[in-house]
Amino acid sequence: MTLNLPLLVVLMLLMTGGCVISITARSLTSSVVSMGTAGLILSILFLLLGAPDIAIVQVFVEIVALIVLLSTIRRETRADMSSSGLYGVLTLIIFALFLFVFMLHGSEIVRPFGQPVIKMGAEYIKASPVLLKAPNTVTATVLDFRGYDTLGEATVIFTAIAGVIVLLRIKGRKDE
Amino acid sequence: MIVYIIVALMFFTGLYGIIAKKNIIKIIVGINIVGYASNLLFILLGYKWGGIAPIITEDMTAVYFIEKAVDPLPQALVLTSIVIDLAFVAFLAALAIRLFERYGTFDMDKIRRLKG
Repeated sequence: MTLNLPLLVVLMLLMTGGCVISITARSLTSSVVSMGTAGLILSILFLLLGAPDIAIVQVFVEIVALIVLLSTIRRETRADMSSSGLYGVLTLIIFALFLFVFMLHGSEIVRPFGQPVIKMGAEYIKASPVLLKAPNTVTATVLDFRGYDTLGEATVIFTAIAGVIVLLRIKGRKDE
Repeated sequence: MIVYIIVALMFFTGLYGIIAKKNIIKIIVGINIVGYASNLLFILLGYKWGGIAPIITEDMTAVYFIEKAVDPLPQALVLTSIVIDLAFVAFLAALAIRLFERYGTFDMDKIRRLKG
């Protein structure tokens, strides 16, 4: 499948629209569902940008996150009527100005879209079919060249799941 | 360059949700959106025009593959990042459930008022 710039821009604008709706919507359910829409468009974008592994992972993760959030908000039936106060808007403007300056500096060194300089990745692309006999370079990178990263990721996930289990256990302490 | 601007817009949308909204669910959604934008930025930085996925098949020569494949390194990093985002969202949702059981609301202002 070929990718051209208008298609990419249209998909990204659709995704941005989903994000805006999910932040501004009154009902919590429509907010969470719009977030899911944005995530599914993101997985299509990953597929078009030459990253099928990530597209598969994104679809799976999106559905699980949607189920988790929907089961969280089933307790609350009231809509979100909270408006952002003056304090919040001021904080946002200061934050956005800071980030905007950083982004201006970054935009001077970033390469034009579609013409990257591949340094480390080129070594992985060359080495993975020859050294490892692995057809999929991404899998070879995750599991072999950068195996320690994956070990750290597993540690983070283990910690997060342990936290969830501790928070959601049914039995409390006995001395209470 | 326009794709990077749209990614920045998406990032600021999520940032607005995190900073200005009072509802915990909206804050979790904002964190998720910031994660989307950063993941997409990494993949966009590694894409080259006419590129193919970094998976070699039988009918490809090695030279063609090295010429055409997109950068696999950001893809590997983003693969890690997506799964960590999911674990993070699950943890935040568990915190939100506990807060709701204690205070009966997702509104940060009311939770603050009932402290103690």
